[in-house]
Amino acid sequence: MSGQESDVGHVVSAALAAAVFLSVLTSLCLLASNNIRRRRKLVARTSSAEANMPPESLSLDPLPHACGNGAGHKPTIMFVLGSGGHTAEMLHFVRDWFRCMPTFDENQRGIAYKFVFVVASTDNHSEQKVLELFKDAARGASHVEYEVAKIPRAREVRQSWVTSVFTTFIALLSSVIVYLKHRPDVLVCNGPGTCVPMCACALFGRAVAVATTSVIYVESVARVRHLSLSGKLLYWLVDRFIVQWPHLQQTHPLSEYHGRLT
Amino acid sequence: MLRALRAFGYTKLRVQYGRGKFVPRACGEDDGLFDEMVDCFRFKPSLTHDMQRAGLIISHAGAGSIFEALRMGKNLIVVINDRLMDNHQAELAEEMQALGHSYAATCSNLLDVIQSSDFGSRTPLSPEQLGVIPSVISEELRHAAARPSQD
Repeated sequence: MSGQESDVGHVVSAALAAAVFLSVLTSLCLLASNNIRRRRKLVARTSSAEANMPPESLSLDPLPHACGNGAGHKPTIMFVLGSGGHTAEMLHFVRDWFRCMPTFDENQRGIAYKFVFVVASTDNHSEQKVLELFKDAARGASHVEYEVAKIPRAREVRQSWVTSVFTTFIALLSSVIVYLKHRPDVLVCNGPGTCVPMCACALFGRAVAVATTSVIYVESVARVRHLSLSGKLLYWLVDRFIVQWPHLQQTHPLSEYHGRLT
Repeated sequence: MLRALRAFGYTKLRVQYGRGKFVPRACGEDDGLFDEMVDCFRFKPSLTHDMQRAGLIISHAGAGSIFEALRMGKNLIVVINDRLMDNHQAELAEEMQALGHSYAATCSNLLDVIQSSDFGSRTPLSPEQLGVIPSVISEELRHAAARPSQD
């Protein structure tokens, strides 16, 4: 019985290792191109504006209509929600979006965007908050269709190591399924543990051209002098890395600082 | 502590003490001494209403609570849990003190901080930058559309 279990454990961990290795490899391939783009962008910015560029110079067009993977695919934006603080910060950005796009003409264009919120399946609180937000923003949000996608947690508290290998694998697999189902154009995450596998999916998906996802990482405002673990892992990989304290921008030159965002 | 608060003119102490085993002494049932002044509850999904009525907020070092209190322009003392490892919350509390928005304290010196606090000279929090994330998203939507895809 125990022998069988450890065999299964070996197979699963080998598969897991292979998956991780593969995604690291492709991510490394992507890394070069991403960073070149980021550096070029940052050089352009620092030369045009002084050190900290004012947010006015960011462009805000209510367009991206030609966007998406083929006909009938609405531009899809995926938000990864974590728990308490992470969720609150992320939903603040969603509210900010509705505030910025109030003039959208619903009669002309109907639903223009699709928002996908990824939550852990045991996290009813975050889902509740999403539903509340859309109820409050009913009029302003009429150009957005939304969906809550649930993925199981990689590890519950006090779970044994052997079974947690298995549940991590399930969690990874369901991230892949959710990712492939929606194939987001933009993935926004702000640092909960669940965002790392989703970002890996996005980078891997782009490497094999199943999607064209851009990844935006926003470090939490709670991080003043040191990045979170997710931040450290994703710093080299994502398309846009945004921090909310000037000190972090100085120590991490590939990040952007636009002031405090929440 | 209650005496110190009363000396500053505070008449009511509302306490959210969480779902843990610990029950503050002043919230215990057998302690009638502070009944008039202390009002306790375990948890509310939102403290916004209570915060709006408060003159002074004593909070843990979570970013959510800190910025919610400061956005309302409230006097704030942030209590750092110094028993946590890798304490990024302490960094935030100290940064907010260095910028003059709030005071930082630990459980052991909270009373001193209350007594020496001078909220008249605090600098108010500047409003957050709005519109940054939406514009970054729309920039990236354009980048995503420009990428070659397989369909």
